[in-house]
Amino acid sequence: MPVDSAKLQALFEPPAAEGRSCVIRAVDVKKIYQMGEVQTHALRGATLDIYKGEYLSIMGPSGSGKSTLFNMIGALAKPSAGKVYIDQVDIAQLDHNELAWLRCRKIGYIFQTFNLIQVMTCLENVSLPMSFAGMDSEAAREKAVYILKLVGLGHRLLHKPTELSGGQQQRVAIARSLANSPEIILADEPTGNLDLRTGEEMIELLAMLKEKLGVTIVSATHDLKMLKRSDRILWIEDGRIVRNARPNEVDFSSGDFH
Amino acid sequence: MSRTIQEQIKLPLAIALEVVLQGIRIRFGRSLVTIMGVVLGIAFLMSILTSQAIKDGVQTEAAMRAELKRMLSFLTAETGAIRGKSLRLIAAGATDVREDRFLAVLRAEGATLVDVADEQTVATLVVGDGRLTTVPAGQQLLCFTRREQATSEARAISLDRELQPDEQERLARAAHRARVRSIWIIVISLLVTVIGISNAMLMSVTERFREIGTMKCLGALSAFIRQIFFIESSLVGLVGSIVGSVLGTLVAILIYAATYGFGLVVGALPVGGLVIYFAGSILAGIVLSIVAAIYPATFASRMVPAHALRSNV
Repeated sequence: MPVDSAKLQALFEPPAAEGRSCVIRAVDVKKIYQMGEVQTHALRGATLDIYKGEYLSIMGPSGSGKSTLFNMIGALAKPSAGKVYIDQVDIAQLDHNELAWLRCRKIGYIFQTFNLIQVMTCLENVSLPMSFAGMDSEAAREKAVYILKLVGLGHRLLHKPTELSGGQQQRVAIARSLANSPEIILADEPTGNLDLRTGEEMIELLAMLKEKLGVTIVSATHDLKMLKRSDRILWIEDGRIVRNARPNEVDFSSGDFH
Repeated sequence: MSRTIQEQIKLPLAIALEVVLQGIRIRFGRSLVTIMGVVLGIAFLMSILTSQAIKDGVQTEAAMRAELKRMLSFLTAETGAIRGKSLRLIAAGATDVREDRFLAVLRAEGATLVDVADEQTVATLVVGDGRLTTVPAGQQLLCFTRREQATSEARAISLDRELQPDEQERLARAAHRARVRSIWIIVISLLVTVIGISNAMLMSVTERFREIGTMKCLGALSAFIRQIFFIESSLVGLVGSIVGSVLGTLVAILIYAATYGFGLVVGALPVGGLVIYFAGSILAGIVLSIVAAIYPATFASRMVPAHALRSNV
């Protein structure tokens, strides 16, 4: 039987490299969507390590499997094949209670489409994850107000998402991801709808969370400023990780970025 | 390898209730539409049940009035006009509704009912389910409201009427037909109610799939999602079926009052039966609402969060 030694090594190698602990590890993750007769291979075997306290950016054209990869490493869907470890625990082994805890406390999600609850105010949207975590409503409210002020929406507390601009909704989504002080933030295009200045503010906010609190940040982005601030950049193409580089090794003036 | 992942806490029921009430308040218009779905279904059921009850009551009442009229004309055929006259009343045992009402009719016709015969007495009336122990003396006419009892000394007639066998058969057939028809109508109206309520509940759950997906991504447990929908659907069912029952009953009463006249309808209204229908309809409304919410709520709570987020309903 032919043995893929790289794969085998990845499966058994202790997930600690560069002297840092590995907070998310995906090994040969595949995802196939079955649409009637047609099979779509969204991921064709993605392997990556994400280290604690790192600011990782993922680049890739649309349809390359970015969002699917986010869903897999964020424990929002099960891979068709391969393993995902979060804090060195295989998430396939977790029951729905533990998965809910993970989604609630450990990971903060910023979705590309925001996914704010339309009928709730900004304040309610941000405090909802806190009530899922069992925080009492008064404390949750206070914390939500603080976080919303942090993202510059202190004056829009009682507005509903539909009354806000795209950029403001994105900031509510960012605020919500911070609700339960997660160790990992998964952000799908977090600055896509923001104007230049707010975009920079949000990048600074994420960078600050990383530096001061050691939050791990994984974001899919095309934003040059964000790419330059990140510790590491991964390229994904056609469901595979094709390149791994540090910002100082990348020529940002090349045509790929414009 | 240390296990750093813990179990998500289960939120108490009070929080679920709070979320539901908040949800209903926020989406008041939409909740109202869902409730209206239940109201319409239950109102339809209740109006059918009430109309059936009223129709039966009105028919019984009309038959009773015809019977009383016939008894009166039987009596006056023997005694002549009874206005200003008196009738000696002997109660042999307990009287029934028909006899009570007949006595009221006699009083309304201007006759006085007395215990001891006087010169104005034109007849002796024997009512009740018992037997006459002592046959009253004298040559007076003896009228029995039930079967005539054998007497030797007096002329006696019976105001009761015995139905011919073919007439009885005809009545039994008509009653059977009416029963089958009313069962059919009630089954149909129940079906309409079931479909109406399921549709309302299904819509209100499925249009929130995305919201449910978001909640699951933020750490809501499947049990919590199910709980929310069950509480919400039972509240919607309760409010909807109370309003619906009242509405349905009122509409049925108004329609029949317009047809037969208010007095007859109110007189014919079977209050005890209506209370049972009321309780039944409310129970049906709540149970149907919950049952209709079970499938979509379970489906929604089991969805993989990433799929739920993509669904566009």
